[in-house]
This record gives sequence, C-alpha cells and structure tokens, in this order.
Amino acid sequence: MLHSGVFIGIDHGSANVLGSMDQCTKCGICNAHCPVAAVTREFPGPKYCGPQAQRFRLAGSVPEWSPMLCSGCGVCTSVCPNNVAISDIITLAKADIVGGGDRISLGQRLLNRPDLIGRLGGKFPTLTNTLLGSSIVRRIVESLFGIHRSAPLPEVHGRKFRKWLASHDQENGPIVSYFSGCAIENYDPDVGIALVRLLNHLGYKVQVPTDRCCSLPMLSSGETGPARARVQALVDALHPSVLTGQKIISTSTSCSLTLRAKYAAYLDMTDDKSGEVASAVVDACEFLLDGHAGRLRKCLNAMPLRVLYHGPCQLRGHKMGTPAVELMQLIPEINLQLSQADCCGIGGTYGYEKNKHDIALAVGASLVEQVRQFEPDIIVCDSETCRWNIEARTSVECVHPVQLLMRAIDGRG
Amino acid sequence: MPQVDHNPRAIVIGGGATGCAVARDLALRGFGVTLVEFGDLGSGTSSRFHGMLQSGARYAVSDTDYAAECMRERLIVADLAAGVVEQTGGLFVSLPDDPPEFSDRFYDGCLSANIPVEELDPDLVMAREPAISRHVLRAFSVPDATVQSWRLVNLLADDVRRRGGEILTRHQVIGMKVRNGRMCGVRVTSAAGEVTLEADVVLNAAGPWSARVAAMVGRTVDLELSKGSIIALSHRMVSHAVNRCRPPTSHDIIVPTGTVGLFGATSEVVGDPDTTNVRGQEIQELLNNAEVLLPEVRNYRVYRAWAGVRPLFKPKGWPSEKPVPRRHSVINHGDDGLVGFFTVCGGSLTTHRSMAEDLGNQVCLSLGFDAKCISAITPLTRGKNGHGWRPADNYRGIEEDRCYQSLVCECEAVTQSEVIDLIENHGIKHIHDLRRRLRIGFGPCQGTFCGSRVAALIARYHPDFASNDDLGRFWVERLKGIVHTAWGQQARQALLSDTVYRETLGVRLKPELATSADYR
Ligand SMILES: Cc1cc2nc3c(=O)[nH]c(=O)nc-3n(C[C@H](O)[C@H](O)[C@H](O)COP(=O)(O)OP(=O)(O)OC[C@H]3O[C@@H](n4cnc5c(N)ncnc54)[C@H](O)[C@@H]3O)c2cc1C
Ligand code: SF4
Ligand code: SF4
Repeated sequence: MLHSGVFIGIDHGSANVLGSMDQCTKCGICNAHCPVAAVTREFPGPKYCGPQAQRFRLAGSVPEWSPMLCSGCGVCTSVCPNNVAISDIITLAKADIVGGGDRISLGQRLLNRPDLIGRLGGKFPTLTNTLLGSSIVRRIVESLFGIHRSAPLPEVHGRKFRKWLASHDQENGPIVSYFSGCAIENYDPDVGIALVRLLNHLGYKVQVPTDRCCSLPMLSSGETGPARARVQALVDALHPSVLTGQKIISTSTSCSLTLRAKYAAYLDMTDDKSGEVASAVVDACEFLLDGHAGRLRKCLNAMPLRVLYHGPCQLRGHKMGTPAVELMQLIPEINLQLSQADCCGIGGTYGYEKNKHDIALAVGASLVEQVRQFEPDIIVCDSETCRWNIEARTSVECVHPVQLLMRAIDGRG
Repeated sequence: MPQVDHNPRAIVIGGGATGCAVARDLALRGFGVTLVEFGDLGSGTSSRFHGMLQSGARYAVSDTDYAAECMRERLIVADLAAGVVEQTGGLFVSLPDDPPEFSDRFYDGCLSANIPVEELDPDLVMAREPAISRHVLRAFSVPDATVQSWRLVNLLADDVRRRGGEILTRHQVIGMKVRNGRMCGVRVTSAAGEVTLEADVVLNAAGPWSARVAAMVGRTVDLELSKGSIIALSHRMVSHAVNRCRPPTSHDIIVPTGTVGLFGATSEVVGDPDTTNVRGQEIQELLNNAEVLLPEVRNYRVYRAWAGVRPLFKPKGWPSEKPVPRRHSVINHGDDGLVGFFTVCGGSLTTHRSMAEDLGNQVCLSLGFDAKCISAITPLTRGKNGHGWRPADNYRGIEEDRCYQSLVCECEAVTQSEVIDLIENHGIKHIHDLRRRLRIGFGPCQGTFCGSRVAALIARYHPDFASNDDLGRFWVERLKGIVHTAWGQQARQALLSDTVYRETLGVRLKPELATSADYR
C-alpha cells in the first residue's frame, strides 16, 4: 500500500506525480476533453481515475479496473488548469494493477516488446509480412494473444535503416545524435532515412548511438518491472553523446516525451545522468525550426498538395507548440489543413488489444470523417503507431513531417 | 417505591450518540420510547468530534477508572457495530517537548486500566509513520480505533424504530409538563406546529444544551462547556491515530479517518453551546502545534475546520482548581423534587452506551420497573456485521459494479442509488441530511459539484422541494468551514466553488443564512 507519507520530503519522481493530485479543484475540464470517456460509458474519465481515485488508493488497496481503459494519450494533463499530472497518476495506478508486469496479459507483453518482435520478424521479413497479412493467421493471433485481427500491424523491414546508414556517406560537419528507436529500426526506416538526408542537407553529420527501444509501451501499460533494466541500458548508451554536448534528435513525439519526462515520473530515475540525457533530447521538427527555417525555406520546392496534419496526443505533453506545422507552412503552394480530432484512437499499443479495439475506432471516428471530407493527398503525423493506424483506417498515405520536407527538397511534390 | 405494571413511556431529548443510546437501551428494556431531536440525528456534538473510538489510554494517568470504562466500551462498540469502526490502532509518541517522566506513568496507567499497551522501538514507529516527527524518543501502541459517528447514531436509531420506538427529528422541546412534582410530558414544536407528548419519564440527553433543557423546569446542571476546534487535512498522513505522550491537553492528536486526517483539538471554555464558529487564530494555533508532530503539515491542503462543544460535567463540590472529570454523571432530578426527570452528561462518544446503561438502571430503579440492560449483548445490526469499516469501501463498490455514470459525489464515491434509497425509503429530504449519512461533500471540493446533483434527485421525489433555499443552506454551512482554511490551492478551490454556487447555479445566499451560526 502506498502511504500518504510518500509525499513528504521528496520533490521529484513519482512522488511529485502523485503529489500533484492535491492541486485538483475538481473543475472537470479534463473529463470534458478525454477522448476515451467521450465514447464509452465503461470509462469514468481522468478526474475520477486520476486525482479522485488516488485519494482512495492512498487510504487502502482496492482491486480496480477503470485505469486500464485509459489510452495514455495525455490530453487530460495538457488541458488541466492546475497542473495535475493526471495521465501519469493513472499510469502509475496501472503499474500497481498489473503488479509492475507480474499480472500482465501475454498479448500486452508481446506488444510491449516491439524491438524484440521486429528483430525476430526481421530475420525473415517476407515470411513474417505474408503471415501477418493473412486473415487466418490474424484470427489465430487474436484468439491466442488478444491482439485484434484488424489492428494496424506494421510491416517488418529487417535492418533496412542500419544497412542504409552503414553504406551512406556523410560529409564532415557538426555532429548530432539521432535516437532512431525501435520503430525506425524495424518498421519505418524511411523516416530515419529522410531525417538523415535532411540533416546532411543542412550540413550536419548524423550518428545513431543505439537502436534500443524507449520502452514506452511497457511503461504506459504498467510493466515497470522489466522496463527498468532496459531503460538504464538506453540511458547508458545515449549518455556518451550527451557528454560531448550533442543534442539527441527524435522523430517520434512519443519516444521523445518518454525520454524527456517519463523515466523520472514512472521509474523514479532522477539521477544526474538520466537528467542530462532527458534535457539533451529534442524533437526533430523543433530542432529544424529552431535556427534552420531560413535555410530550409530556400531549398523547399512548391508542393501543390492537399495535406492534412494530425498532431499526435503526445505532442501536447512537450509544450512546444506545433513546430511541424510551422515548418510545413514554409513549403510553397501547400494546402495544409489541421486535424480537428484530439486523438486518432490508437494510443500507442492501446487500440491493438481486442477489448479496446472498438473504443479506439470510436475515438478515431472524427479523424476518419475529416479525411473523408477533405480528401487529402497525404496525411502527416509525427508518431509511428498513429501513422500506421491512420493509414489503415483511411487508406491515405501517412508520413512524418521530415519525409514531406525531404520530398519538397527533392522536388517530388 | 412505586411499582409500574405497564411498560413505561419515556421521552428522550437529544438525538446525539447519547440520546440514541438511551432510547435504544430503554427500548430494549421494554419501554415505549419517543426521541425528540432539534436538528438531524447526530448533528450536534456527536458529529463535530475527533472521530476516535478511544481505548482510554489518553486518560490512563489522569483518570484510570474512566480509561478502563473507555476500553471496555471501545470493545463492545467495535463488536456491536463493526461496520462503522475502523481498527486503526493508536500510537502515543513522546517528543523532546513532552515531559520524559510521563511515559512510564502512562505505561503503568494503561496496565491498571486494562488497556493492552506495548512499548515500540521509536525507529520502527518513525519508519512506519513517515509523516511524523523524526524526534520520537519513546513510543507505545494502544488499541485506539475510529468510528463513523453518523452511521453509528443511525444504526442506533434504526434499532429503536425496529423495536417500536419513535424518532422525531427537526422537533424541538420548548417546555415541560409537570403535575404534582412529577414530570409527565414535554411540549414540542416542529414545522407541523406544537404538540404535547405524554410520558412517565423524561430523559435529558441534550449534550451541551442539557443545562438549557433543565432550565426549562428551573433545574441547574453544572456544565463546563469546552469548545474544541479541529482541522481536516487533505490526506490521512498517518495510518494510526497518533497522540502526544503527555498529560492530555490541546492539539495533540492526528486521527486518520476516511481519506483525510483530523488534527486537533483546541479547548476553550465558552458560555454558549451554539459556539461552533472557528477563529482564524485558532487555525494558526493548531498548525503551529501540528508542526511539532507533523513537520510537513503546512504543505498539505486543509479542507475545512469546525468546532464542537464538549458537555463536561462538574459534580457537586468538585474543587475548582481541578480539571473537570471526563466521566459521565446521571442526575436524578427527583432528588431535588422533580420526579421522573433525569439528565445524563459528561462522558464521550466512546462511552455513549455505558452512559445509557447507567441512566437506564437509575430510571428503572426509580420506577420500580424490573428490566435488565441488554444493550451490550444485543446485536445492533441485522445480519452479519462483516468486516470493519474501510475508508476505500465506497471506491471498491464502484469499481466492482462499474457504476461510474451514476456517481453523485465523486470525491467520496457516492452513487445515485445510495442517495435515492435514503430519499425513497427513509424520508430524507435535505442535502445536509444526505451529506451526513453518506459523507457527501466531505472531499476536496466540499460539495461544489455534488450539491446540485443531490438537489435534483430530491426534487425528483419531492416536487415541492425548495432547491434554491436548501442549496443555499448547504453551501453556507460548507463555506463556514472553508473560509478560514482558504489559502493556497484551497483558496483557489473556494473561489471556484463559490462561483459555481452563486454564478453558475444562481443560488442566493440570504443574509440571514450567512449570519446564522449553526444551520442543521
Ligand atoms: C472537539 C471535540 C472532539 C471530541 N473528540 C472525541 C473523540 O475523539 N472521541 C470521543 O469518544 N468523544 C469525543 N468528543 C466528545 C463527544 O463528541 C461528546 O461527548 C458526545 O458527542 C456527546 O454526545 P451527546 O449525544 O451527549 O451530545 P450531542 O451530540 O450534542 O447531542 C445533543 C443533541 O440534543 C439536541 N437538542 C438540544 N436541545 C434540544 C431541544 N431543546 N430539543 C430537542 N433536541 C435538542 C441537539 O440538537 C443535539 O443533537 C469530542 C468532543 C469535541 C467537542
Ligand atoms: S490519458 Fe487520455 S484516455 Fe487517459 S484519461 Fe487522460 S485524456 Fe483520457
Ligand atoms: S482538469 Fe485538473 S483540476 Fe480540473 S478536474 Fe481535471 S485534474 Fe482536477
């Protein structure tokens, strides 16, 4: 049982997250914005699951379910006028519910290891993709692991990004580090390739210190036990680059938010080393916008396309505005529309689970409707699972902002 | 001695823990009972107390007999009404400011009073209770517990009703009927008008108001009215009730109850039993003292403050320099010429049952009615008592039933069905009365969002419900406790809450409400 004395004399880490519950004035603004509560009566909403229920959690242990329905999108935290770390409180509750991972389902365990699956499947990419493309296999996977048959599983690509990078010549220039993460390494190599080329174009030399996973799926589903060692290894791998003063660039707003803030919040990693890594992390678009907009503007060719931009939920957690939008507005003749949806529904690995698939679909319905009306040529989004989900739901190509920028540079409008 | 051949009729004045226990005691002995309560059950001192079902250890040195009585009663209450008692356990900690020689006397006193006491390793205690001072020199554990007083008085009253007794709430006794030196009834006023109720005996259990009641027939009851103020902190802070190990004085206990921690209490002799306002200065005094026991206390939100008046009784000839005893007294006013009239006062909530037993014995003796007290051995609830009260039980119920959409009070996890049951089956039609029974409005927002939901439910069953007035009374009463603790985040809360009531809901706070000291 967590003790309310937990708040005493501690000014960081999970105690800080839980302590923020006392800032709540019960206004209900978070409830009004929660995309999950809006579509299901099974979920009581962030106010209840977060600061309210936490009062009871501190007073005695109770078997709970409701936190498991939170998608972890973080919308609640970003709208709270009192800085309550609502979604983090809920995530810590999830970790308690699943016993730090001891009581987690097999399917979720699999989903929590995208790096492992990617590496295994990557050994025989064609076979894996054919198998996972078969509806019979997906039915079996669904009944065995509870992963919904039409959840948007990405294709595996072997080690395409690594291979490309190894054979890619870079000219000398100021060095930056790129945290590619498991998605680029295994499923979405083109984003990584686009970023490296873009940075080269701006005169940078890019190094990729590690291919490790940030472990967000584990953290957000409560599997904090096994996450600890993985996260420590990642921090150790990134730290040498940080020591040489390099920025660590990320093309995934969810990975970068995890690196920036979540190790302290969920794993109490508040040591100097983790802190230094956290403060070196920068989102790719944020990096590009800050000091490079002028140069970019000169080399972007016209792109007379209908482009829909969907900012992923995690973007709000960065509190950095929408740098991707500002960058894309530099592209001549672009017809850019912004998504009106709070969330595409997938919530990382949330919508993959059979019992949450319907909720995820309902959450994403307004985005699908907007796509139907606007009929974009291309959709842009900074987070990988969102892109896979949007592509699966709308059949419109969905790319990362750096891919669009690179296409504009290449004149492939 | 007169002998009665019929079952005597008794009128009990006061529906606090004492009055309800007296009514039950007599109903169990075969009396026909009518209880008359001015407000709602338990809306006087019995709801403004510190929440403790005391082991008596607090009085082990100063009054060993009383301490032993507390211990006996504490066990009986926890046995009869397990569902309203949380077995928190209690700690007595000796800090550098506390008289060092007191600890040994305390230990011996507990042994003499039959209170199971154990000395603990201070380091262990500090590890188990991270919120308390790091300077604990000695520590003792005793079997203190906490009790939900409203639930307790309602259990007692329900049992009285089941046994044919009558409970009249929102009825005030305004006079007595005396015939030939015998008390034979009371005059009662209520919204329905004035009536006279006849009885063989009239029992004054009006707590701090009992002197006023006795004065209606020219009798004096020598009460010392001692006001005590308490603050409710945003967390339990401790898992045991933690006392300072020193002669019992003011501000030396933190009691975990529900999801909050109660720190108190002050003590101040007052002249008027209705003195339930708290002064800002008292709050600072409480916080200054709390800081010694709970060093970080100022970093917590204080939800509200309240005060109650202890009805202490000074027996005849009691030396004025000695502190007034805690033990109760029964006064048979027949001794000074008014047969059939008794007053019971002093004591505590913990000893409500033994107070009633004592009074019942004397009443039976004076009437020559032969009936033994069976209140300690008669189950208070039908069916199994089950486990004790656990503060997270409401939350547990909601998670089990997944009835999220029907939440009325989110802070205390109260559902529509609980509210509707009380409105439909128990005739409750005031927000306040639902608040007391269900802990509605006890949480951080102090009733901001549940008040109107409750009002809507009452209006569904009582179309003539004056919702604006009732909401106004509810909010004025909540505000009374919030105004002095509105700093930091609680100030922000208070401003939002007040805006919701006055601007969003358009509730009019009538001036007479705002100045009324004690709406119940
Ligand atoms: C600050 C404080 C802390 C305390 N802490 C504890 C504790 O932790 N543990 C403990 O055991 N005890 C505690 N006590 C003591 C305990 O609260 C009281 O001893 C006990 O509640 C008294 O109950 P009662 O029924 O006698 O009085 P009350 O609860 O005051 O009941 C008397 C009732 O009589 C009614 N009444 C008055 N006049 C009339 C009339 N004319 N007609 C009809 N009805 C009338 C009133 O409305 C009232 O409801 C505390 C007391 C205070 C003040
Ligand atoms: S994180 Fe998203 S889904 Fe979870 S409670 Fe907050 S807004 Fe709702
Ligand atoms: S938005 Fe923030 S302050 Fe308002 S109810 Fe939600 S958590 Fe509480």
